[in-house]
Amino acid sequence: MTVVSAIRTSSIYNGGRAIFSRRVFLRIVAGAGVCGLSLILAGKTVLHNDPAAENNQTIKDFLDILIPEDGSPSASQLGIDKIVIDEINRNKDLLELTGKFFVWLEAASKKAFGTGRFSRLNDSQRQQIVAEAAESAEGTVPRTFFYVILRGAFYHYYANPLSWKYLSYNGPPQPVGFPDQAEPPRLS
Amino acid sequence: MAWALSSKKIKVLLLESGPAYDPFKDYLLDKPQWEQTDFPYKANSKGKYSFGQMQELDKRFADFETFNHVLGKLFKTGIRATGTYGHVKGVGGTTLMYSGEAHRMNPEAMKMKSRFQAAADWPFDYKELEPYYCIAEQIVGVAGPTADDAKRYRSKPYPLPPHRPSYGSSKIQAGCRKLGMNFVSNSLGILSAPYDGRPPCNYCGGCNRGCQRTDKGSVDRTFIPKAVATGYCTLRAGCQVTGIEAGDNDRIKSVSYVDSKGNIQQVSGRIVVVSCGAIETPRLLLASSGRHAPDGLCNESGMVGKNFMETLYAITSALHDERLASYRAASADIICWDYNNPDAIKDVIGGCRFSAATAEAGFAGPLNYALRVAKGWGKGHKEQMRQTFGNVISVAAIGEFLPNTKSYIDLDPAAKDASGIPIARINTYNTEMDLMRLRFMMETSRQILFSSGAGKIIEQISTYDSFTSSHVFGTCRMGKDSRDSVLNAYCQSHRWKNLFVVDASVFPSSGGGESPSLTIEALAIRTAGYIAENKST
Ligand SMILES: Cc1cc2nc3c(=O)[nH]c(=O)nc-3n(C[C@H](O)[C@H](O)[C@H](O)COP(=O)(O)OP(=O)(O)OC[C@H]3O[C@@H](n4cnc5c(N)ncnc54)[C@H](O)[C@@H]3O)c2cc1C
Ligand code: SF4
Repeated sequence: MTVVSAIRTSSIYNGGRAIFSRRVFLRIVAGAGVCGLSLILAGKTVLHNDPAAENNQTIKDFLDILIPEDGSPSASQLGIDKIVIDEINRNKDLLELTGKFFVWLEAASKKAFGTGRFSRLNDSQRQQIVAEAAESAEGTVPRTFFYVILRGAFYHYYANPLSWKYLSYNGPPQPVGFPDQAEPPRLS
Repeated sequence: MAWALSSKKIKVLLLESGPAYDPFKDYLLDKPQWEQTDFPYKANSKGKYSFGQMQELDKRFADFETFNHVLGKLFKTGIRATGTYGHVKGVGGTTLMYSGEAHRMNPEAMKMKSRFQAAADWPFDYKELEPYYCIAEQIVGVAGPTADDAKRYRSKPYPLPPHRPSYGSSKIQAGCRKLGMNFVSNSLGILSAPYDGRPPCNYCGGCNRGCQRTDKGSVDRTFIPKAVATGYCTLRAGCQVTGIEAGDNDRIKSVSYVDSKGNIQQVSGRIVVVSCGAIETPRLLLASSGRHAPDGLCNESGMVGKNFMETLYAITSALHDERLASYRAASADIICWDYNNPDAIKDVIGGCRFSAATAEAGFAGPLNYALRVAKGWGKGHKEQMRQTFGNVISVAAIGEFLPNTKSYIDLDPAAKDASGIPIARINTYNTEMDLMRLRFMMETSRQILFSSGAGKIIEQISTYDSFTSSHVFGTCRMGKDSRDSVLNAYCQSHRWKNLFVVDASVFPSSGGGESPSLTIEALAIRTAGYIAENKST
């Protein structure tokens, strides 16, 4: 499963529930009008001193805004950043989208706070930039990236039993099942 | 069918195109990542199919479009979307992912033509099928209500006592009572007590992902091992039948298939039974045209592929205020048959049923809540996860689907499978009558949810704007008249005396939301008895 396919919900009757079909996704990548990648994660293009580390840090910080620590672990505390970075590196379309998003991110951070480096912003500044991406017009690079990464992050985070504890969820469903199904739940 | 024949000491060769599944290795319900995958399809366990022209949506029913409160409206083109034909190619077929509902047909829904000039009559009565239902229930290990069913006479009680409703379902049951509706324990091919060497259900909610506990009565756990154990049945998985060859004297000569190693094989037998499902069976028959059958095998009436009936379906989900941990449940544990008679819905022909469907809707664990229930991101999303997790309840409604001339299966004129056989093309159309039935189903589902104490509807999925079918029927229907049916009352071709079809394609009408597998099994047992008695066929 890739981040792109992860936007599909998991259900028996799930025909067509993807929020972005691959076709729409490709249109955004192809039509966003941003060319010349200025990243990237595997360190192919020199943007900063250690581009791979810098870009990986940006993804990690971005994910920790999407899934912060609040008594339950943050995305990076469960290693979700590494999974997502790996998926980005293995998926050409996603890699390209990420490159375009980084260009946007640098510009947005610079415009709002005078520095193009997202990782140098404080928590509330990062939240402001992430909110701007989320609220961008439908079909734009920041919004597409935001939702693809958000749903990909959830997809991995909530498949980690360490995230379940805080929901009083005693999964996975087998081998124990829920023999108390007919009773009101005992919530911890 | 394989079991019913082999237990009568008739030798059977069972050719199955898909792989065999090992519940302990292949199903994922005990893995942390269980929720990332729906049913764990293996290689070659999904068939290919295409769609004809999809219909323009009738705006008068726009209230019933599919939406989710996080994702918004899902289909935006104004044209009905091509969704999925839910099926599994594998030993045990689609029952590997089924919910385990084990229903008998409503006798009233078997006479649609004579009563309403709709669909076709079954060529026999319910009472003819009743003893075979009892046998099928014994093999599967059906758990069902102890009270009499006013609609469906039974000569024997269910083999097992009913399941207790889950806590979430008990809210739905109570809500319905307030509306004067009656939800009862569903009859399920899911064990409520140890049976036939299998353990009882532990209510994990994962039926549609493949039952790892093996208590669900899918065909691979019930009929097939029993058939093989007789010593008269040989099972060959991974064998795709590519053609059925007709010979002289209106008899089938042989069957060709590609075996699991990719070799082309040909076998002949005294009798050929086709059980590929209501989409693949007409495909195989149409693709098996030849000198003796230029329009496709069994197609003397022109009815092969016609009368396609899909699933008229809606599933509505809402948030309850109370902590329910509603993911703790077997699929569809309670059901309401109040509107199941074909004349039960005002001004509409064809009935429907309602069932608790939280597990079927997929609100089974944290991942689905994260993607479909909690909104936003950051701390707000986490807070919503804590507040809502386990609180969703869902109601499913399935209704009668009446055949129409725009709903049929034919061969795709261009696309072919790896063996060069044209794939099936699904042509689908919902008539105004179907949509009126769907309206009733959805409006009632909402009322049930509100009356159950749920507040906000968070998701509504309907076949109004997307073809999504788990129950498909009708494409080789049985009938008394060879001019408008493919098979006689014993599922035997009107012309090819040694050719039988036994699967959901034989249904003359769909029923008012009854799930089909028990009826298919009962029909197979009945047909096997006919074959055994008529050795000359
Ligand atoms: C999610 C879901 C839930 C469901 N829940 C229920 C339920 O609770 N109760 C119920 O009664 N029904 C339920 N159903 C429907 C039920 O599973 C089907 O109606 C039933 O399995 C149909 O049986 P069939 O024999 O017609 O076809 P299938 O079960 O699809 O079997 C056809 C078999 O033929 C094989 N085949 C096809 N073509 C070839 C070929 N050319 N050569 C060799 N083999 C071939 C296939 O691989 C397959 O194994 C559900 C379905 C779905 C998708
Ligand atoms: S709910 Fe019961 S029947 Fe369904 S998968 Fe779980 S254990 Fe099997």
